[in-house]
Amino acid sequence: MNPTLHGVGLSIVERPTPEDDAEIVAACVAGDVAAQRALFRREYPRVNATVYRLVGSARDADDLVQETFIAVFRGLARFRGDSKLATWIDRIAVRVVFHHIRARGKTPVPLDVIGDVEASGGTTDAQAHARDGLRRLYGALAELTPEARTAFALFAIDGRSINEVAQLTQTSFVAAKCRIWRARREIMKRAKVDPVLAELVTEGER
Amino acid sequence: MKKIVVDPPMSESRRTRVEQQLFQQLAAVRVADRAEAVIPPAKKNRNGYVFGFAAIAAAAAILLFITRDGGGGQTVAPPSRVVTPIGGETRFMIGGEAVVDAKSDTSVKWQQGSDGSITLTLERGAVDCQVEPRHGRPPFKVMSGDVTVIVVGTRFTVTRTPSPRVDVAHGKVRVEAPGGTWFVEAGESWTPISVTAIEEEPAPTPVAAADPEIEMAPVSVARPKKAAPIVAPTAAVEKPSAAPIEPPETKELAKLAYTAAQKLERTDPKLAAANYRAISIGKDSYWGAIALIALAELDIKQGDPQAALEVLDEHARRFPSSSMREDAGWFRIEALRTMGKRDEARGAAADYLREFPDGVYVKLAKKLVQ
Repeated sequence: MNPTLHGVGLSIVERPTPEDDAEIVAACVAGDVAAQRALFRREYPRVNATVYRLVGSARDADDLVQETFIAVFRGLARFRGDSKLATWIDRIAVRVVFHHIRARGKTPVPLDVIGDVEASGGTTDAQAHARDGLRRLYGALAELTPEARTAFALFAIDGRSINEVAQLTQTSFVAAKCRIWRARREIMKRAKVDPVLAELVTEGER
Repeated sequence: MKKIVVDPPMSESRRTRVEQQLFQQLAAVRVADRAEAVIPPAKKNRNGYVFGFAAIAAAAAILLFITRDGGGGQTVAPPSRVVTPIGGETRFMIGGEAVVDAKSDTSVKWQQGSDGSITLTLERGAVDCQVEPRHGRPPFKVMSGDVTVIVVGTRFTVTRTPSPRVDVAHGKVRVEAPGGTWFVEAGESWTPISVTAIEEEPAPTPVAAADPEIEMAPVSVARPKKAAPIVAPTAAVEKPSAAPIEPPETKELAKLAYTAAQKLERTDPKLAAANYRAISIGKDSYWGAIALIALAELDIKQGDPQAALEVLDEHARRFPSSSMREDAGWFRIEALRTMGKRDEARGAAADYLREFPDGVYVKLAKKLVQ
């Protein structure tokens, strides 16, 4: 409701930030930059987290998040509302990252890339240990096929269900499951000879 | 394997920086779009004055037609025509989702329909199109004489003069003609008199496979292509009842056939099922087991859980130590649930939990048992 200044004869027309998907999409398509910024701010935390977990590099993640949102805003006119807007955006993000991973090939993760990961322990040693573990994990992921890496990272790191992985990678449930399974087998094989990686991926496992 | 915790960097300054850069880029993109809609950029890698002059001439021709049509710089309705002179080439974008290279001495008209569909009419010459996978987007068609090319998503070239021809750079195309249906894959070419496999191996399939296909009709007689690298969907399309799909002979062929069947699930589930069935009786037991599980999943999706159960029984009988047993267990639960047999589904879930206490579907199965 718009507040009215009674007795003055003026009403303040507030322009609420649209929250409904259809509303925000319509505003963005119409070129409303405020709506685009609102959509970006609403979706950024999740997209950033997913992209970062897929690539393991803050620097790459920033570029890929931008690339994702450019694709989102350029393609928003074609969004038909068949799925949730968030799912549609996530699918674009996964596709953008997939192409990045495939184009980059098996380049090892640079040492400084996982620099701002905070270890849960908080001490310098714990942080260094956590960084080392993640560096090894992403090194192992770099050896996988882009398909297996994407599926595995979405499932094991980003915490998506297999159904979601299938949906985001636009493949069948069985195919998603197979990719995750194959990736897991490779990671575990590597963990057998790498105690730091083993600690990261198998700690607490019975 | 436990869930791996990776906390993403979430500082406000990082978000602000990304946001700033993003909106700067978006502003730049909008400017580029407006410019591109008026004068498409010529290819930069051409040498010599002849090509430079030709590109300018082509741009001028486009500008002339846009202006004549009332222009305004929009990429929708009314039709626009691109004409390139002999020796000249030009590139233009349509709706941000297709990049078209008009070759030398080409005349092509394009129009966007009210439903967003895009139609290119090739009057002469050749166009090289790179089209975004459709995935529910409006159709993209290229008409060349009496041949219509309906794009699902691929990169291809359609030539009208001197003679009709389709070259596929990525993906796969389907050619339908009165004499039958042929698949032409990446690296292959199609003409009305022959389909020649230039490369034996198909292009690798990306995740989020685009199902790149072109449907063509009508065309004159073509002979079947020489080398079908996989359990060819082609054969089944040509003679669905008379020619059963042959099981793949090797692991590699089984893998390729499986990939093909996955793609077919969306467009032709029956054919996909036939492919899965063929793979399941092939020589490679690894892909055979996976194909049976995929078939069971497809049966459930197609609303036939009884068939899925039969397939799962077959899987248990033929592949008792398969790595897909866990999935088989889960799909059995799914099939029973779909059939409304809740008690049996609960029993199957309990069986699953006993056999796979650390399985991937444990949470779901536990919910069901409770």
